[in-house]
Amino acid sequence: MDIRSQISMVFHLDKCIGCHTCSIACKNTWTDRKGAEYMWWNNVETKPGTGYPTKWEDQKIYKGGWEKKGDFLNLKGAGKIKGIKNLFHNPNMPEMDDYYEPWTYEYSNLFDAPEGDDQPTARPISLLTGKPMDVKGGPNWDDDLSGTPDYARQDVNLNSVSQAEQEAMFQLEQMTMHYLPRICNHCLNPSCVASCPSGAIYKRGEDGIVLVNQNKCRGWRMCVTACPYKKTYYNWNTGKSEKCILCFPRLETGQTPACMHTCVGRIRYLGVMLYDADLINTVAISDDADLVSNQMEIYLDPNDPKIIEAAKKNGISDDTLEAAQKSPVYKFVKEWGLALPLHPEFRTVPNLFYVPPLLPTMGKVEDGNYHNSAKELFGGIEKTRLPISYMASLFTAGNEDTIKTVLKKLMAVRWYRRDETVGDQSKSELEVMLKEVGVDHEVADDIYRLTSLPTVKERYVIPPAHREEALEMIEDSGDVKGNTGFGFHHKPERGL
Amino acid sequence: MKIDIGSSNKRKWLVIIGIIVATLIFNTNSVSAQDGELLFQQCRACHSIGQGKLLGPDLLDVGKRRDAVWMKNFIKSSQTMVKIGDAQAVELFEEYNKLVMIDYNLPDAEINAIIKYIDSFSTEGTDNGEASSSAADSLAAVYLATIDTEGNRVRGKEIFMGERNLKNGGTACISCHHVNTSESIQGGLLAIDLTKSFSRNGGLPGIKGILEFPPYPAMKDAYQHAAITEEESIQLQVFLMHADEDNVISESSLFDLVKQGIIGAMILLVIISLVWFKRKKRSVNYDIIQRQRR
Repeated sequence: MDIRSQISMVFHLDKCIGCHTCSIACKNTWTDRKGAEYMWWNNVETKPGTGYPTKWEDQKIYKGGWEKKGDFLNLKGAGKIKGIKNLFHNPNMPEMDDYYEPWTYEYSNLFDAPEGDDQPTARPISLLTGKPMDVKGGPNWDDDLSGTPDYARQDVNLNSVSQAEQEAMFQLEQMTMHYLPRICNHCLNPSCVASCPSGAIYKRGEDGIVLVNQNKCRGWRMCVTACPYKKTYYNWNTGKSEKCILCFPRLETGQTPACMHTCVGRIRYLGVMLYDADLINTVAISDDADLVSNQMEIYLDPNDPKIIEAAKKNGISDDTLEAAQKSPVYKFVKEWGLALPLHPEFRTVPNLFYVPPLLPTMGKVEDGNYHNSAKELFGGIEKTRLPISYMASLFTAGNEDTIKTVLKKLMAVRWYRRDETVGDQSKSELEVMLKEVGVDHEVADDIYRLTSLPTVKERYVIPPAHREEALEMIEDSGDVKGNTGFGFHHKPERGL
Repeated sequence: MKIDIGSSNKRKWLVIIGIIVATLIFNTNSVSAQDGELLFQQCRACHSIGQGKLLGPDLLDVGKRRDAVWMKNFIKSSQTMVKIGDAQAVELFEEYNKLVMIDYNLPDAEINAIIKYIDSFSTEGTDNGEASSSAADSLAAVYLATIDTEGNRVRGKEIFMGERNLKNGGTACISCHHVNTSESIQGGLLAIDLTKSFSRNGGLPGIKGILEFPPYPAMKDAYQHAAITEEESIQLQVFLMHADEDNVISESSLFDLVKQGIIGAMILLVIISLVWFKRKKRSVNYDIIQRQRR
């Protein structure tokens, strides 16, 4: 057993209002620079939709993540042989039109325009060419457009939804959507780290944050291809790749990351998870159906004395253990089993978990009439406006049972709270529901409290940073990485 | 005690120095025609007297063709004269494929001795010009047939490559020279590439001359006390002759090269387009963006 600590996140999708405040906070903090104009380390997507960069989930196009070959995991679009083959021409990467051409507005014209008959306007100006441009797309171009043929119907997850279900889904009265905020998953089995020929990307020992060493990065862009979530970006100005750093300078000073700090819907939770690093390989090569359940096994109970002992032996500090015990992420993911990883079939074992949205299940069509609440138990979860197969494609690699269990739990808690506050539900039915999902009143209350009424300190349990013990300050992490590539340690004169 | 170095002592020293200087001057002036034969050895690499052209012209009767002062200057520095624009010098330079005759900064006396030696071959037998040259040609052909054997070529290669030691202990050619053949490795880059030396230096006699009486300063020094024997010289000549013949780039082979290059490039392009057939060819948003641009 090789216990390590990982800072993990939970995003509660039922609470996301799609305001993009997180994206703007991140943009203003980190990517408001030359060369980073098009980057959105945090972005919010409308689902169904194609996302940013367009169709990022379709690995037939972008060749990201891992693929299972027998008992081995291979990078789908990077690695030694594929890397050399595509070293100087790598067509699997998103290009500018897959992201979008970044622009600003000619604000000065509003003040400086010569006197005329017309109101002066601020034309869009390309941030690349500096010339006026017609905006053809943006990072959230399909925002709230859940029914459009260009975007919603191109959603890659619809491949696993039957034609009949799709038709039903896009009927006007059934139209639905939810938001999907995304940041780097700081995976346990990161394909970006594995793909880097320069050995520039590393996973921090003490908290598992995945970072790009800007001194070592040679701009090969293998990580851009390899990351299935398309969360590494190439900075054309510095010639280096960049990615979400989980605001580590803020974390190290006890502050929450900018995107979480600003979250209007308070959907975000952050905390420490303990995991067994020996199991990463086992988890990553599991069959699709077992990916989620196996990933849950890798996270360990921070209250178990044996685990605590083993963790201490492995150099995890008491502060971190204490944070792990209070971690809201542990509660959502492991204790309550409510949060699921996004696209586990990419086999990177992501550490950002989503509580799937329950809202669309509340309405359904019966005899051509729309009903906003269902009569049977669990409100017809299986007749939801967003098909179960769609949700399963997003969160459980196609395992519908897992997603159903989660949705039922969420529904049971909702019924329980309605009974508490309104008292119009049948007590016996409620007890049946709670029993079926294995949630007692106490746990239901806890779930409700952490979902609806959490304080800042409950949402974000940040362990005190022990930078003085960080591995990479003592030794070069490149030395211990093994066969990572071609090895350059000093940057050439370039950019900036 | 006082040591007296008197004026008589000084005078004595002056006399001795005077004698030495006088002896030196006398000596340099006293180079005789007999020494001419010895001195001419260093010319033999490129010139013959009455045996036809080698690298440079046949020097028979050169005294009648050229002015003595002109000859002296030409021997001392032929290139200077070419640069000045001396008509005869330029003509010679052009005639002999712009092959540079290296400078021989010899004392006048030695040059005189050499000229005297050349002059000693008088022109009594010039009548048999045409006949003798054709006879010489057939003789040369017979000679070539006798030396041009595979054994000689292989020996020559071995000597060149240093696989076989030179009899007198000279350095292997490959230390300084390179020859491009299928059998040889990359040779030294200190001296000129000898791949085309056979045709450049006017065939076997030219190479023979250079090998046996090296005119180039560095080579001269290197083989001064380790002369290449005649047998070795022949083997090397045969080797270099074949190396030259094997490295002919004709116009047709150039054309073949271009043709093969084009065909090869086309095959490569086909392979590349097949191997990368499933690549992402354009933006995922291409259709949407194109539609908006219309």
